[in-house]
Amino acid sequence: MEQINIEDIMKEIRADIAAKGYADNEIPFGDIACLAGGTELPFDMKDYMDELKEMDESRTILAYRDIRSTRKGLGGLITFCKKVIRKIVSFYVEPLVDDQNRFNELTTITMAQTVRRFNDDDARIEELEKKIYKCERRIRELEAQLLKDEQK
Amino acid sequence: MKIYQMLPTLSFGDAVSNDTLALSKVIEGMGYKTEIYAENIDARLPKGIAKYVSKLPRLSANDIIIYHLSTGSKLNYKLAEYRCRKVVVYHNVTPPSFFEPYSIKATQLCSDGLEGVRYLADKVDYCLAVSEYNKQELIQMGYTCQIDVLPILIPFDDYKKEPDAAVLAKYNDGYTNLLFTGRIAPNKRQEDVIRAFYYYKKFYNPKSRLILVGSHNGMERYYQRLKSYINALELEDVVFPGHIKFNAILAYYKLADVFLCQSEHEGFCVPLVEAMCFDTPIVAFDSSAIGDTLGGSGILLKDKNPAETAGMIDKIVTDKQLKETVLANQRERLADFDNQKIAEAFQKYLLKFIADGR
Repeated sequence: MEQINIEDIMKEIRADIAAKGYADNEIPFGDIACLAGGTELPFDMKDYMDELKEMDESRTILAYRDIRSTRKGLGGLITFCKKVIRKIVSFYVEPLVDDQNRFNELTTITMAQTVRRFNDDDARIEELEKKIYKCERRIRELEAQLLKDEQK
Repeated sequence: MKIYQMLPTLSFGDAVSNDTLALSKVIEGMGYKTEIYAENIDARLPKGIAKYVSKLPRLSANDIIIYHLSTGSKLNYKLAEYRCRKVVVYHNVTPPSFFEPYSIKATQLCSDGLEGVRYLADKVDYCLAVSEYNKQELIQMGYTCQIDVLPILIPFDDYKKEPDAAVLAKYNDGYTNLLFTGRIAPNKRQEDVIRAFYYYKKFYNPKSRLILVGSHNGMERYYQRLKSYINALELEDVVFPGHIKFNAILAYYKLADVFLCQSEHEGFCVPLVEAMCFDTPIVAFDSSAIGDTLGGSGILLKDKNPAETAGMIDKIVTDKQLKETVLANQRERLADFDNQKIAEAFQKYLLKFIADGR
């Protein structure tokens, strides 16, 4: 393996950096706030959207469901009796199902609105962060300029 | 005599799991009956590739369990109870301090993992460390059994697959592409990669792009902090592809002009070998096992000065002779990771271990 004299190359680079006045004076990573608080469980947007989709697909409940029986012999009688019971209680069950469907529809619509709000908020926060960092950068530049002027 | 491999989670596509699967083939090739047992098995893996630990059959004294140790798990303690011969393959556990600002769960898992490593110090018969760095760490933790170094078996054939054409078309645009692959995780110091890229783009090459391939699952706070940092620097052309398909990863490697690693903790760092495989010159910070894996190849920097790192990147990109020397060294080093070589070393170590037990 051919030896590369990295230290010699680095000396060249350092000299070049010094000559050109390149300096590492940008905002340090340590100054970037870390999101604190909230739940330990991470929020996953993909999971959230998948679950929202599943919610939307399953929001409608059917009051009328197919009734069958696979029991030998008595199967036919059991099915008939169940159908009769279904008919008898339908006056009570169907309004409940309608109410539930209405609730499900409203919940799904509201949850979808929440996603739009998330996205809007995220975009606003990102814009605000950009403005804050721009201002902080300007403050640092002005402070550095002020210090230079004072030293003169 | 049967040889079983065991690990907490057999995942799809991660280095520890790939190593386990590859070693399984080697053990089968040696003529031994072998199976893999795990607490969690990724549903994307073929059915029957592994079984749950609860299904582990009765063991005899001359059976062998090869345990892959890389994280916190109650298996780290359960292993000691099995009445058989025990081998640990040590992949390393990330120091918990890296995760403290971001995830209590990850911090605890790593802390438990390190306790588990210490617990097993006098309870295993033999260790295989995937790097010299890992071997030294085991010795420091009180391991006195024989420890040999065996690099991870990497599925090089997979890298010959067709890369994603859409990704290639999108980013093959005359920009200099810097790449780092690895989970978005604080020990990998993606913020230092970003900072070095910032200076490279500002001082040397505005027509450049940084691609950070890796999933941020579980590290959302760190990921958000990185995004905020990019905004604070008003830095453009930083791409986070997220969790992507394998052929997209291949495309990013093909596009890369430099592989930049600023990680502060690695037990091996498979992406370095991947970069060698794709003939991408590597610039890396000298920490943990990085120097071991590079083995004298690539460019290993002792200091982490972003402006100087940017200068080195520029040198690699513009100095053809230097780049060729780096690549020649990397190709030579890559040969040390040849699967046949590593498989033969593993066979030798395993046969000796079996013979010592008789």
